[in-house]
Amino acid sequence: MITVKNLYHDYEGKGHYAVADISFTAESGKIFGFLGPSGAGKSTVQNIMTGLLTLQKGEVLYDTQSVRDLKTSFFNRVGVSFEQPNVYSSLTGYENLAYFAAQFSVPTLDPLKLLDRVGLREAAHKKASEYSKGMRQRLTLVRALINQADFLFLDEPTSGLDPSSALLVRELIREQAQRGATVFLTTHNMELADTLCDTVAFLSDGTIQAMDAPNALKLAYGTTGVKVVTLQEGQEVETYFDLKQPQALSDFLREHEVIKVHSMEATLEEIFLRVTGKELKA
Amino acid sequence: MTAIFALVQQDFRRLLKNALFWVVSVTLILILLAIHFVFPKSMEVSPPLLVSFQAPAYAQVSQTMESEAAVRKAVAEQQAIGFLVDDQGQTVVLHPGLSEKTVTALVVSLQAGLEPIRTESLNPQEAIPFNLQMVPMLITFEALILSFILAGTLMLAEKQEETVKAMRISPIGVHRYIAGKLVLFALIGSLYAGLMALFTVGFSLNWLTFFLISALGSAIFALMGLVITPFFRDMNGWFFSTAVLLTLNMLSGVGYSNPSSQLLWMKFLPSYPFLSAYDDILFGSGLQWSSVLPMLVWTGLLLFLAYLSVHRVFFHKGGAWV
Repeated sequence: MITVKNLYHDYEGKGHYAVADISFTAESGKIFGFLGPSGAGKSTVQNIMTGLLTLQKGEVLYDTQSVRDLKTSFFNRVGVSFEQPNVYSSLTGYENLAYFAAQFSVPTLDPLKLLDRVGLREAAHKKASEYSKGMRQRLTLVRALINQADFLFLDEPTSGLDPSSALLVRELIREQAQRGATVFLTTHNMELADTLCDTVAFLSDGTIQAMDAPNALKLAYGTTGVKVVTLQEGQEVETYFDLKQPQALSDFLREHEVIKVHSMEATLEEIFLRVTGKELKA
Repeated sequence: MTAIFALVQQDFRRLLKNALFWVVSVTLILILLAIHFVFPKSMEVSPPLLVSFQAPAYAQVSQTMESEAAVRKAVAEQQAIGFLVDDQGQTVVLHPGLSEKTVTALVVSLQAGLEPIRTESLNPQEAIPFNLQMVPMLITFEALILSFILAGTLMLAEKQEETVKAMRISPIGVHRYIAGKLVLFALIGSLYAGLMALFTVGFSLNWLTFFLISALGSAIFALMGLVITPFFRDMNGWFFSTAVLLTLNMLSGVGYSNPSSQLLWMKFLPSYPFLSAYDDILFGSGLQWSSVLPMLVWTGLLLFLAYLSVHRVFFHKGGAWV
């Protein structure tokens, strides 16, 4: 479990906080989604949590241990996948994984099996410089998984991936939570967050604007209606019904030739816009 | 140990795919070829032309000219050394720009020229062939210094590829990172130095001492790379600063090859003790411990600075991680 309490960070020391009063708990065996557009402060928070940035104010606890007191050996329990793929381009995919695997003093996974999981088995012995961006992205992701970390930080793990690769990656991320890891997922991809995360936090202008389970947010900010499309005199006609009045819907469905029925549930993207007043673009 | 071995192994693989590594390796071969086929084993120094005009003290050892102008012309055009006597009766030596020391030595030798002399060498070894005299310098400034250049190249690549970020959040740690680089370059530097010694001087030297000194020297120059490189973003700024630093370091070679022009501060350059140590190991009676002390001082100092530089700058974590 990772607990973040009242986190602030000021890059210039002039009282302009990049992130302010950030508090949340990412639980073991769960996926915590940190959502926000570029510049919202997602990377700042993640970098403080992983120790890449100094903790200035507030607290970050891994279980009960403060980030300030952690030793280098603690990184045996941490895995980080960066948004920008950062691998040794002159080494092969296999060598990249083997290199990092040798650094850990905990049992590590077989590099070839990991590469196989993300469709890189065939390219295992090719130099990483010959990989496409998507392949390097997948290599960066599996590098973060090699030590079976207790705490996983994944920054835009499906960025630049084709749909089938993205599906493989999603499945892998889900497995990490299932084996008990705390997964901290940073993304601006609402669809990814919706399908994977147990909890999401909306970050805008360096503060958390809303935080809850995706379904709870949809209930809180969306409507409980449906849109029914019928064919009337050769024309498609849309009619809206509130699910609080099911009888009206039932009668309508019986009397008309229905083509399509759409849920009026709000998407996370719409909720983000409603909460922050900002679009969630990269 | 497994982690350090993995660092060494992968860094070596990266080196094998690095163009600069192969440039340095080819340079080593070219140097060996030059020593054997370009540089002569002995230098024939032709005696200087001595000319004089109305200088009876030097008339016997010089060619007498018909005028002062002829003497001046010979000095200017033929690099001769001329002797005149001025109005006050004092001898004037005209020369084409030699040092005061050289001129004085020449005059003294001419004045003693008629007396028979006997020479005695206190060095039991045979005279060192001319083409081998520069081997200590070539080992120091090629085999050892390549550790500096290649360590810097690997680190810059780690910065540019941002793999250093991945290392920061791994359990590698500063100690193991530095140890990995030192082991790699101690091995490579010693191998290169050993090849240069083997193909020039041959087998007859104390190889254990030679390899120990070479490993220490390579480690010192690799440490210099670890100290300097974290402060640069890319090859451009790094290369310029490195060139200045290495040029400064090579000034010890001036003092080594021409002791009369040596300045005190040249003795304190990191390369200086290695020049004299290699000279002793390859041609002398063995390593003098007076050379080892400055090496150890440099090692300690650079190890401390490299730790600070890698920890605070390269692996910058703001002190949150020990």
